Amino acid sequence: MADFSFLVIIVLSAGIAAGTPILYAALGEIFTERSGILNLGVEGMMLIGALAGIVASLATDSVWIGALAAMAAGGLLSLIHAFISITLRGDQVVSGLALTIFGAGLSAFLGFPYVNVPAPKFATLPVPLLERIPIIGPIFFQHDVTVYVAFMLLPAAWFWINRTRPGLHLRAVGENPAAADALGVNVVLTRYTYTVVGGALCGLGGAALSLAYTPGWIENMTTGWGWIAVGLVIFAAWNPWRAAFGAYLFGAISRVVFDVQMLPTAGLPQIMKILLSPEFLRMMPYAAVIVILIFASREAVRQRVGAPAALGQPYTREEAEA
Amino acid sequence: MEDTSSFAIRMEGITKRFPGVVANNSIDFAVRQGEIHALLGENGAGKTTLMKILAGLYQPDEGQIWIDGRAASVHSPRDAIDLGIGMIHQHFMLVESHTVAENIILGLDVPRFVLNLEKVEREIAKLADQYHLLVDPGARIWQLSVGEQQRIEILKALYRGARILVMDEPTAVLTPQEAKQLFNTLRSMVAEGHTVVFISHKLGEVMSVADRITVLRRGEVEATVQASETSRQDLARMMVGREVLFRVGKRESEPGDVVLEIDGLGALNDKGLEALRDVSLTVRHGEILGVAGVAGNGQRELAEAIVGLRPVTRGQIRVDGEGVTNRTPREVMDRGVAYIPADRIGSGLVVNLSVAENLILKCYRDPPICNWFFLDGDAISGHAQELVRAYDVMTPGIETRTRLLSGGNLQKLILAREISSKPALMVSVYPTRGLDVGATEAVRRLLLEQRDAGGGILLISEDLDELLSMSDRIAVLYEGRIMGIVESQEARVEALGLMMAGTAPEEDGGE
Amino acid sequence: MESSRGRALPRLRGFSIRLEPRLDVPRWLPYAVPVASLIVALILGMIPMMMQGINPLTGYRDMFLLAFGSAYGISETIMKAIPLMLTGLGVALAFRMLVWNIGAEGQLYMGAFGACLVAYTWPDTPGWVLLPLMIVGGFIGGALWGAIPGALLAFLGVSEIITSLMLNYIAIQWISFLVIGPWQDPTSLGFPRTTRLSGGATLPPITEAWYLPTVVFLAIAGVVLLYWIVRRTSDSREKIKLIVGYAVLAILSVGSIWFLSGLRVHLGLVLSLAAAAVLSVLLSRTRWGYEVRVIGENARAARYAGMSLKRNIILVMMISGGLAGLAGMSEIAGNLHLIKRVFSPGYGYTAIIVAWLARLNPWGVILVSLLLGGLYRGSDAIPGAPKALGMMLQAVIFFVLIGGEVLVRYRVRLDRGT
Repeated sequence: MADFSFLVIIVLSAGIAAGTPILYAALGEIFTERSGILNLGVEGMMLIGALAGIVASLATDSVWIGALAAMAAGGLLSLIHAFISITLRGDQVVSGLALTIFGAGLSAFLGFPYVNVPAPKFATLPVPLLERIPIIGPIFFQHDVTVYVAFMLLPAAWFWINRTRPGLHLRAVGENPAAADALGVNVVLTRYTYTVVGGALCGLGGAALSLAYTPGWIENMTTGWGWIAVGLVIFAAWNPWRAAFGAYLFGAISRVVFDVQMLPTAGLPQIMKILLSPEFLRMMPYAAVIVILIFASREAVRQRVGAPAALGQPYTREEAEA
Repeated sequence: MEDTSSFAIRMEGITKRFPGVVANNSIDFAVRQGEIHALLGENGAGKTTLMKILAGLYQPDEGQIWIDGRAASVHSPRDAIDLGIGMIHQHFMLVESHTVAENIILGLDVPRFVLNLEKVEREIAKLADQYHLLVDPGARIWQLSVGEQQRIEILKALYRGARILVMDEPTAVLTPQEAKQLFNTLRSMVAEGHTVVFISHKLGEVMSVADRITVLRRGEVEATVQASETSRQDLARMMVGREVLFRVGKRESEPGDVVLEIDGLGALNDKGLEALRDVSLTVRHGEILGVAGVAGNGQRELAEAIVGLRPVTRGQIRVDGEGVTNRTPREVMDRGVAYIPADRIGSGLVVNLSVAENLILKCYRDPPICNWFFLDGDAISGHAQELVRAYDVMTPGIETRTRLLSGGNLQKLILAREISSKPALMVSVYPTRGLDVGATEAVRRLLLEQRDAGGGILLISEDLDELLSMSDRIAVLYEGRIMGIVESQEARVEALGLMMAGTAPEEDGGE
Repeated sequence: MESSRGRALPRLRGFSIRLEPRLDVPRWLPYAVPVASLIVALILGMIPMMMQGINPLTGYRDMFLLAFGSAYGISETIMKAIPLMLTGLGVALAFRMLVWNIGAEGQLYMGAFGACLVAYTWPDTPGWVLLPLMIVGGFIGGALWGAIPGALLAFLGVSEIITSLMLNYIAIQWISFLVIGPWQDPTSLGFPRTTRLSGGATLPPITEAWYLPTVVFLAIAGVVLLYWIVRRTSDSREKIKLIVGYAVLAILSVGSIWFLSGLRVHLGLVLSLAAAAVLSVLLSRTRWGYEVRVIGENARAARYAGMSLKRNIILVMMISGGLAGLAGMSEIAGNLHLIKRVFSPGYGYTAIIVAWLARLNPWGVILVSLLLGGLYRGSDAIPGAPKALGMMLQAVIFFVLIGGEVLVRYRVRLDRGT
């Protein structure tokens, strides 16, 4: 029994650590999509953020500056998407895909000299007092700073979106830009702002990966986590709390997958050996995304929770006439 | 000439060009303090464009604006709001998933950061009380009726301190009774010192409510007149530029067998709520059955249920005696049902494909257009040329992308396609909405020809004049129920209006 | 009430860009824009090269020479272009219907799996039996993999973007499992790869022996074309188009045998061109292609015209996946002759860019594939992480092109604020 609770604590604690990079990215994407812009470039922005974090912290010897650089890099990259989809009214799906390819290519190209170079990282920093609370302490309060910042960001994001004036404008722009525009809300500025905010958070997610969870730079180190974040936003119905639940769940799954590999398989039947092979276990998080999206879609039909009504649609005033 | 300071709005020499059209051509327009001023004109006359310039949504290419006698620069909606101008658009500018209070404070600088919706809701309740506009500030917009939504739009303007209220076609979505109520509200606002501009193309209401009337035609001012010194006929002539016949000449109908028979029909709307309740009606060959009602009372759902685009939850639909309930659109079509959808560009046409390709939308899988899987290019262009000529569709060529055609020609294109399939029944929803007088007449003539050729037509419209002049019988829909069916010769507007507002006709015995 | 009017927010004043839809597009513009985009993209691509201390001018020169400077270089460029053509065609078809299949990479892997399943099951079969079977196996492998997101979208409304992408990772893991598990070559000393394909299971390279069948094919095609022109078409523009197309086909096919025989380019090129031809005819001349185009432009009108969205979504995803599967088959049977762990350098992702640059036109896909194949091949000339440079440049070309397309659709006006 004691063993079991020990296992649960380890899995949940590791789940939170592993889920943090995804959570940043998902929060960023929630902000962006709430303003009506679909940015599928999360993976690319995370990669650029991860690399920028490494490069900047190596140069300055400060992980904090690394994290800031990651946010700046993610934000800059998202600016391309913002320009194409807001100003030029290009296709948002395709532009986002291109952003992912661009981010992957650019980070691999520029990151070549940094592969496996030892770099500074955020140290584990247990929270005094809180860490001693049984069960809760080890699960939530024995992590590095990136995890705690995410804890604080969560309620802040929820409050910002649902309880503040800028949040009201954000939601209105994503639901009905024409209405917001007619009342003097600057649709273009709002969309640019939140696309860049989203990009910065994705960059930060990348840094949470390269400076904390799996320190160091490797080409394509996000291995689809950015896409998982995009999927989670749908699962979360654009709500930060549900996104956190999903992100930590994924962290836990990827951790369990890792642990199960260590189990002895000697006495098991052949089929179990195959299912427990590292390759099959590595499929699990991706398969899980598909499964939860299936459930989320059924729920969406039942409860009629939907995407922001204007998601993915460019807005212009003068064409509204035609 | 009056003292300019007595004008709430003065616009001079306003010109606005869109690619390919001049929407406003050096327009002079002035509204006095405290009057109700109607801006009258056909669809496409430039009324809405002019008012969107006033509201800061469009920038004029030329011209100047004075508000309350002072030169004003209105570069954005915010400028207009700061000048005390509130515009209520034809399509309400409301965020459906938000609450009334959230919609009303949207875009304001106050509160600065944290929303205090309780306080706002109290303020709204007070304001609503003052103008007798009943609303629930905590409700979400999608739960409200169209009339309620309009009240929220008015409150939104008042809450912003608007003194000049611009309303674009405010009665289009109201029953005659609701419209009357709206006019009372407008009069009480004027009495409190507000100024009202309202855009309309309906002569009757303009005559009854406006103090002065400005008539626009083809982007230019035709005249500005006192309502008390003009007549409907004068206004109509100014609006259209020639004498107008208020009734379309039509022959006596010769109804044949029943083509459409609907029995106890039920269906849900997009939100999953009941949209049709126990609807029963019949349409005969060679007859036009008009369906009256305020938009949103189940018209769209009725049409979609008949043509197979919306699942039927209860009841039966038969076409020429054969059951088509819950069949696919293709199966219904094959029974001889044609459909003129309300939303031409959204569901009737594929605007990025060519005219020829749009004309085969329904016959693309049958010979001679399609021979065993392969499309026949010659047959397609022959078909297109024939229809374009027969239905007088103005297009540079059959390979032209459809989006470049005007609204009237788009509708003719749909009619050409649908009528050429020789349908037994045509379900036609708002067929003349948004068309100018010429196109409207052409569309009505085509529908009447189709009737005289023995087709049955279900004509859904929100224009009572159109229904009275076109239909042989008129059914009234209210909240998804048929309130009554009357012979159009015997129908009176007042009685129809009462039914549209949910009052059963007296002939039924009443309750 | 008074407080609510408040003061205006500070506004961004100065220049603002306004886009007005063009009513008529100058004829040359749609062609000039891609060329100009390419040039601008190459200029922008210099920045990261300089950041890595590479002289961009010599860099580009080396890239160009490596990709197009010799017959061998061109042959290698075509080798890279073949999988791009097939995946690009698949993606273009799906995008035509606004189904965002971004799972071409995984479908390519599953196509390789399907083809090899056939090849390893009947290793000793002669090529003229085995290769067609492998083509079918590859197509089915990719088609089934594409059917999963298709069915999820059609029946449950699950975003195909996410599911098709997730399936890429799963497919790659599946291949990894095979190459170090059941399919591993016992003589590979532990390297993660499969046994070499038998001779009958490989796509033959182009040789001079191809002249005869090509000429026979051209003769038959000529007769069919003649019949078509005389009996079935009255439009003279159409006739000219067909004749010119035939001439180009004849010159190119004979010319490329002469040019490429003895090099590595294989039958997969013919497979790709045939796929482009079939797809082009399907889209523009059949009722199914018409349905795809109508659904892609306006799904509501399609539904109202009685077209089945669900069936077409699944069908399109299957054909799209099948074409990507053919890419996997041709890559294994024509190029590698065995499966390695991660054998595609992201062809399935590049396919997205290929399809869009080609404006979703099948013949455009062939052209753009050759160009981006050259980019793949050429970036080997750059030290460091060459694959990455290729990827990055593709994306830059793409971004610039989207920007350029705006010039085709809109007239850009600068407004000076006051």
